[in-house]
Amino acid sequence: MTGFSPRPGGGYTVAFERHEASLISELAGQIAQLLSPLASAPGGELGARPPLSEQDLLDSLEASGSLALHEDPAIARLLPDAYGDEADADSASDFRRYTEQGIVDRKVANALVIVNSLAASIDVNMTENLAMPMEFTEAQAQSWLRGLTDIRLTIASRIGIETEEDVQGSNNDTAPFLREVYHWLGYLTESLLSAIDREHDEHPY
Amino acid sequence: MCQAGTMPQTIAETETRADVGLEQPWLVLVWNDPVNLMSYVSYIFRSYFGFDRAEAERRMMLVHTEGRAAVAAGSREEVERHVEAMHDYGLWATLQKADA
Repeated sequence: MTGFSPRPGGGYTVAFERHEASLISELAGQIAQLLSPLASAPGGELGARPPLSEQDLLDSLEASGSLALHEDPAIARLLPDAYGDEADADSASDFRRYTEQGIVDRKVANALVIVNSLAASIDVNMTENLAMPMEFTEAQAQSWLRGLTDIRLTIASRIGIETEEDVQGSNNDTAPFLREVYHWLGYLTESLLSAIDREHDEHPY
Repeated sequence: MCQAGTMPQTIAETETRADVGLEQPWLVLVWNDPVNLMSYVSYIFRSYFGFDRAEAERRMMLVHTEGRAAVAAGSREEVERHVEAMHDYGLWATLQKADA
């Protein structure tokens, strides 16, 4: 893999080997699957939504969705409480009812941008170990940045990273491969941030 | 005809009454977590909140060392939007009343 670089005309390039692209695509797909039951059109095929019916439109006007932190700790970390004080439980619940589906929809969309943008790279005819260069727009790079973060947060939850000390790992690791992936994705995120920084030194925010 | 000497007192009283009537400001708190990169938090503070590089770094380090930092203030509605945006980024943020 070569890390992200800004392109002279705008956007970014990166090069992944086929197994790297497959891994990221698989992880992004899992994020989409993890969250889609909470999305505004649950149960539909990913990427193939039925046309909006009048009932769908009416449904979307009502607040719906969860009232409290999700039982799954990974989802709870992706959709945390907005009010820290227990006395504000009603406000937290209201906030969640009105915002959760929007947040979920955007996270699923980001994950699908990653999957779709990698699809061309995961060509069965691709020579193994050859890093295929890809190009991203600014908008896609934003999706990658957020989607990679969601993947890292989920892996961290699954392998029990709860404190700064947990990040280093131990000899008793039950999931050493996932931990390596977690760190590799951190490196990839740093690379993308560095490229975005270099791009915006030319064109400030 | 008003007398110049009485005007300033009247304005000061009005300002005080207006302050008491204003909605109490709310704060956005960003909380430390072991997953998010310092560079990512700093980037969000620059690109979303518009802090310059030095100020973004300073606030990011506050989050890192103190466990959390206030990064914005506003009405409840404004601050709820900021918290929602932070959750979009994968940061953990909460809102609370400014004098809590």
